[in-house]
Amino acid sequence: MLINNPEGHYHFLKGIGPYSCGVIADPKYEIVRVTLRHSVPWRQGFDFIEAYLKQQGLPRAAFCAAELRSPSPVSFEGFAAFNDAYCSVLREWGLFVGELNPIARTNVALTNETRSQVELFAFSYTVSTGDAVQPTFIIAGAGELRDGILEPQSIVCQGQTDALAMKEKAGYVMQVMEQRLDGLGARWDVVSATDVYTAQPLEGLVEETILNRLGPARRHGLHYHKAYPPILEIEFEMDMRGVRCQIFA
Amino acid sequence: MSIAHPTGHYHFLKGGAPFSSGVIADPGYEIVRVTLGSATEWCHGFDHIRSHLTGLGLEVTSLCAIELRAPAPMTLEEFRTFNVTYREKLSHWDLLVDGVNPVARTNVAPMYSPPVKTELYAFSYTVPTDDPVSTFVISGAADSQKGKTPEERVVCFGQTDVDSMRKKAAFVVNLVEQRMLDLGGSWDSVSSTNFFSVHGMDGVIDGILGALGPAAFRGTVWHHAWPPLVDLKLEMDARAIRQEIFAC
Repeated sequence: MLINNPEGHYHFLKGIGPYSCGVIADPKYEIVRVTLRHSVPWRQGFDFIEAYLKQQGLPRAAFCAAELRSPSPVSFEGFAAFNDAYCSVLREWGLFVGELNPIARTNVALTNETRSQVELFAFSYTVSTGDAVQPTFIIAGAGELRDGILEPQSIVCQGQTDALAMKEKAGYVMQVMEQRLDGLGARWDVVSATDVYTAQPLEGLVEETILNRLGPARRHGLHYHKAYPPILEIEFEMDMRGVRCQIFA
Repeated sequence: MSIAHPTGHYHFLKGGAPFSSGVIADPGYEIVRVTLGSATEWCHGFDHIRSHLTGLGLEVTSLCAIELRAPAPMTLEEFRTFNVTYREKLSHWDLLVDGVNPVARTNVAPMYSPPVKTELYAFSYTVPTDDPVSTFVISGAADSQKGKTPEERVVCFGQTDVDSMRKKAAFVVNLVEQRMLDLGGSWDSVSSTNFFSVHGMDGVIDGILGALGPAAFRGTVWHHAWPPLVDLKLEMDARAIRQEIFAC
């Protein structure tokens, strides 16, 4: 169910503690995505976001999605520890809606990573357009974690990385993407980018499991990142977005 | 080595008759890229470009790069025929510089939902900016080199096994890199790299990322598409853009 965030001028799909499942801009607003030319440590990233928004005359509440890069995948416990610190900043910024975190997030670790701490790679925010525009939205990163429950037994085909298991994992993640797209009330023809994050071979996954289900979104290709999802033993993650304006800052 | 466009506020690398090898914005200007939200036949696409640019108070000479989607890979003869019509359009818009085509281009044939006629997928143009950002667009470069016969021209002609695809990939990355360096660009500035092939995404893409320097940090986009000419199996382009618009 979509939940209103009136201060942020967007609706969000309820997720779990660290992130929502996705955000969609309200009518007459749009989501703009900013990729940092040089990523910065995540806490410093919040300062960057605040300064950027301030320059645009926007409040903190306009911030609606974060994309992070971790040094390496971590245990469920390590993930929870990072999320506590991350969510405390969101709370400090007054971004929670009641007890719910409205901010979408993708967090992955590149396989050739050299950084020593989690960094901010990109972020998104809402801005008034004045006129009605096509819906713009961000679907948060999802790995093969059944119902998003943060425990090892929720991992689809846990401990397996053979071709069949990877197909199961990718199939599950695609299903989550479809559900979130539907939940946001968005459509495939307004998806502007589809990201895949995995360190495992893609053989047998791309055409049948992903492209055949992307519909018109596949005209923009598949954005591949050789990366691990943020938690050990999760092998396949995707996110998607439909944005009109992207800035490389 | 790059040539100044007298009114477009960019420099370009001389390519062939149908397209330049790449463009880079002049200081005080940046290249903005627009992706069309829905398919438009390329001729009508140019009308869209004109109204977009006019709406922004820009001259048509600010147009500096075109991205097309073709129904299928073409024979050399078909490709030449298309390019004559395409170049006439550029000439009609007075875009040529002393008879040289300055406009960069990528033209590929999608494997999924191919268009009935060649369509405009995206375009780029220069606008004034206060940002000192370096923005450029490198034209699509395929696994093709100089040679008299197809066997001489095409890298690993007729082969699509993983090793051959890797050789093709190394060739196109090198070509794009050379164009980028010739324009004065660097991998650090690159915001997007794109590969176009219906062969060997798996097994090839790893090596590709390793060759992209800092740009690999941003991943790469793989399009299941053919280069515009039959016999060619892999194409690549790259760009460094600050502002990308996805238009209705």
